Amino acid sequence: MLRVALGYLAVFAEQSRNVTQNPLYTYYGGGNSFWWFLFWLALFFILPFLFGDYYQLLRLSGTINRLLVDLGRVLNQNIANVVSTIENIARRKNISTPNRSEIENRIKDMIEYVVITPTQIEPQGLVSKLKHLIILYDHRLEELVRRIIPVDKPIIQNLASSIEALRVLNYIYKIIMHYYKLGMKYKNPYLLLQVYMALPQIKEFVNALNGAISAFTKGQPIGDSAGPLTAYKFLKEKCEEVEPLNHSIENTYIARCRYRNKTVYIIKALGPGSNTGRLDDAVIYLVERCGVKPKMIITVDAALKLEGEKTGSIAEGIGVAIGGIGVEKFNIETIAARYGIPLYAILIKMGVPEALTLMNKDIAEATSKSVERICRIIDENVRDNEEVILIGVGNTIGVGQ
Amino acid sequence: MTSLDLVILYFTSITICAIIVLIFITYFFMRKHVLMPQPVELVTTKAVTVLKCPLCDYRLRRGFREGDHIGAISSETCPIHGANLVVEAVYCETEEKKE
Repeated sequence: MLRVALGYLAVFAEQSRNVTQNPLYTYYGGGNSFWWFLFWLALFFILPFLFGDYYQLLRLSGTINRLLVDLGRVLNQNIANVVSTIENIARRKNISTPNRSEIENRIKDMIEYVVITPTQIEPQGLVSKLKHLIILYDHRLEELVRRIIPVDKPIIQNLASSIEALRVLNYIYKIIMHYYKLGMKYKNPYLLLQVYMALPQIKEFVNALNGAISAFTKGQPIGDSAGPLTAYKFLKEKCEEVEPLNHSIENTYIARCRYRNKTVYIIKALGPGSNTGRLDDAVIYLVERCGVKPKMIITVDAALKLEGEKTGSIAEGIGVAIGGIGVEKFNIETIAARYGIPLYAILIKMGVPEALTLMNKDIAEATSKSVERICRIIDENVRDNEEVILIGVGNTIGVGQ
Repeated sequence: MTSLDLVILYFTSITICAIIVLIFITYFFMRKHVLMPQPVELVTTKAVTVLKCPLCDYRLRRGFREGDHIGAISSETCPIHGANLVVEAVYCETEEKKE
């Protein structure tokens, strides 16, 4: 190739001595041709303006098409992983399940499951309606998993969470496919540009979901488990006379303990299965049914960090540290405002991939530091024989009590 | 060198420059890692379980096994007290490239 190029250059140098015989001279129309002028005008000025959108469409569609192929592969791999997990559990526990294709079909039906949000034209009672729907959805998903494999509740909860993550993955796939098809249908690059601009974040979120499904199927604690883990560590390392309370609140653990002559009520989701508990119901139960008069309510939760912030750094503040739709946050804020209870919050910072995938060492160590922060807050603000409510917010997968 | 030679040289260099610029633009747009973060599965991670004796500070660090969860009582025992070890932590260790 190099030899050919050098040969060509030698020929060109030889011919350039006689300009009229130069092939480039003839090619460019003798240097003063009108056609030559038109050609360059078209190449640099007319074509980009006329076909610029078309070139852009080609480039964007190529990139988004590759993303869709990747997404489809990730989705299929994860469905296969969940099916294999179900088969392995069934084999280990000697339980009969439907065959592989039947399980796969049922999972595919479950990931298409929709939750229709209540109407917002009349906001009266919207929070209770939302809560009703969330509880209904959780029960329905667990019931559908139980029909495939009737096992213990923690395993059912872990599998239901895996399928929930699959559902989100499928939804992302469908949304991107929608914009891709729409852009190609109307030959509109600006529809594709919307997806293209959000591509790095989409890819990061998909990778996080990919890791989350793996952690859910194995029952490993994720970054979001930092809140329940902090509550667990406080309970085990700092408290004495621990007494779990009997109650009827689903998926929730409430314990009473003594910490330096103060009574601490600890609320967290009931582990080690994947669930977030009914934390607002637990607070209402303690304050309104048990007559607890807390000096303060402390919430500990994982919070999304900004780029540049360190994973595992801790922030302290006031308010209720609970994410999600806002149902539990609303209910706790309402009861705190009604009884004039101060609200303290401790946030453990992490990125989206870290919150959804297997907990890393920085976050595990940060939970110990947040326990020390809790102790300091209680020591500074609560006197002897007063009461405090501590809530470990988040998914308690892989964290017992 | 005649003026015609200069014209030819001028357009030839423009063409060569345009081709070089096109190659660079194509390379940067086609380069996958510019737009897409590394997939999670490509990062080497290892789940680790830390077990602790409830009576002393003895700790045992081993790979994650199915069924391990924080607070679970393990079948492994403390070599000093003989008590069953309790799972203290489960986390991942990521082997990252040092920047």
